[in-house]
Amino acid sequence: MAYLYEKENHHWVTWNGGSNVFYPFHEDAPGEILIIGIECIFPLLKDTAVEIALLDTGAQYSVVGRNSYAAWSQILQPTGDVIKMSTRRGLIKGVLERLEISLVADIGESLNLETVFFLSEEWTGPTVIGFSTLAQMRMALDPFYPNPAAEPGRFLFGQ
Amino acid sequence: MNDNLTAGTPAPLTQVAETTNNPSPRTLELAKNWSEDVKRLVETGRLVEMRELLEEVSQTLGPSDKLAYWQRIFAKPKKLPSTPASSVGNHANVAWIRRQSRPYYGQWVALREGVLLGANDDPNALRQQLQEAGTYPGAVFIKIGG
Repeated sequence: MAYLYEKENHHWVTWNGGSNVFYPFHEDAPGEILIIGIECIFPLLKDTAVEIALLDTGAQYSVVGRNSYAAWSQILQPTGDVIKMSTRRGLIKGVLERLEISLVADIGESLNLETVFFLSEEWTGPTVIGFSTLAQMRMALDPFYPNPAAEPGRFLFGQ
Repeated sequence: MNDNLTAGTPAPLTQVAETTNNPSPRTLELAKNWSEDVKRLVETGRLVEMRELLEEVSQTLGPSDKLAYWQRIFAKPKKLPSTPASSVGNHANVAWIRRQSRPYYGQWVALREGVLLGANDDPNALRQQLQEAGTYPGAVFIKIGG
């Protein structure tokens, strides 16, 4: 289903504000498979486009992907300390910043958040939605909506 | 403490002031190391300890640009207004998947705005196929049936 419900004072209310399909085993670049891809957009970037980000509950921080990093570096002058982060591509250096991100819905409302992102020119992978974003929202994955053979699955989200 | 003072002798006012303002060992340690300590805690995911350290630095050393940066980064989340659903291309892809994906179960398909660009058991072969046809840019690759 596109909506989940919870009981509040004897009434059923919607649990999520919006939802969208997720992309299982999405090929982000040649040979690079995102196990769960979700649609997102950085609304403050000029000429921005929807991108498919890796949903990674095991990542401590969200990470700006290689394509969006180039656009962010045009408009953002990070002032923070350089930190090192361990990634599946090794140890990389970058800075933390708070950025606006929109999780795009095809039903209901897109969810807009300002969350902590790791920015690094050394990161050559996709945008990653990690726990620094996920800890501020509610989310659920339904891989069987409406049935296993007909749809890649649904990502439900709200605040 | 001024070691030259003898017991019972009142200390000159200037010396009393210096003694009172002497920073504690902990304050000296904080002033020297807090920034590196915060980075280490951030890098290792120990955010509860990091927040406690920021609070201690704030109370002990007072404001600074560096402290303001870390406080801003780890401030409470800012709620932004939601916006109406806008995923048009995805609707088209989903519609295609719902209506036409059954023959492709177990295969990879490449779609763009609801149009099937190709299908193959092997995602690399499918990519190659699209690159040769000039239809690779903007294609979304999905494995039907997971």
